[in-house]
Amino acid sequence: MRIQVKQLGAVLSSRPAGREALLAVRSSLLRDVKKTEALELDFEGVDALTPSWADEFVTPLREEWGDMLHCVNTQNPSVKATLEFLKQIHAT
Amino acid sequence: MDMKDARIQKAFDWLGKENGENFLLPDEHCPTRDVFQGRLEKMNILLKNAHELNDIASLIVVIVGEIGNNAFDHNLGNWRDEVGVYFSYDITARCIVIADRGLGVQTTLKRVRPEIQNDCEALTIAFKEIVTSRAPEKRGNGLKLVEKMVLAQNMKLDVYSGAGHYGIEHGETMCSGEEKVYNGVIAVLKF
Repeated sequence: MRIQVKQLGAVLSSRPAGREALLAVRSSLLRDVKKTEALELDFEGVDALTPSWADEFVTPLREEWGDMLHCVNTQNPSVKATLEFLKQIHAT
Repeated sequence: MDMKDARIQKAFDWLGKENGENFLLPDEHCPTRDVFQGRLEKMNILLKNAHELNDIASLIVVIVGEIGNNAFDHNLGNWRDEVGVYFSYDITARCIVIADRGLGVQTTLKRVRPEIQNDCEALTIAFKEIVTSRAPEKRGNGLKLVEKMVLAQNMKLDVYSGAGHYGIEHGETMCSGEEKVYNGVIAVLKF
């Protein structure tokens, strides 16, 4: 299953928005997806990803999907920096 | 702080007023998070169109987004008087200002760190440590990444709250006491 993150917005900012996005995605795209299936978050077209939004959206998905979660098209500087930052803080 | 830029001076004037209502112009006042988000997205488009800023446009939006949303996160229902934030920028002049008449960093962090002694200590903790006044929620990390981004891209960020001034510039951070007290937060980003 691949989620086009840009469908949730180009400027992904604020914790409430991240939470809302996760709730929406869980009730629709992820409803019938098993945790044993690979889940891809495609960041193509995302202009800005803040750590607050990402911590509410990506972090719970990473906790549930573990190594089955893959983030792709992460070249945008803020996407790269934010995902790397989240990895660091959740590793400690 | 160079006050020659009128938008910077306006932020300080706003926070210095006894009553902050009816001072800001509609297009520089974001009374709600949704309005702030809309204007942040507009700024994103302007930054994208400024091709010389391509490498740092997304980082600028993240820095501004984190600071602006922090104001709403920590002050909802607790604004001194005027709700929301002052958000003003000039892409050509490479200057962005955000300010709020909220509780200030020290008051919000003292909820979970009562031992904090002054505004400078509070500001330093806010930028250096993962801590939140909205405990027990798992949050409080955004400003750490803001500092990393400002340092990595050689931008300049000055944040004033209470009698404290936290500055990030030329690869270094500093915190100093100010004579005047600003009740709320003012953040000035130069890039």
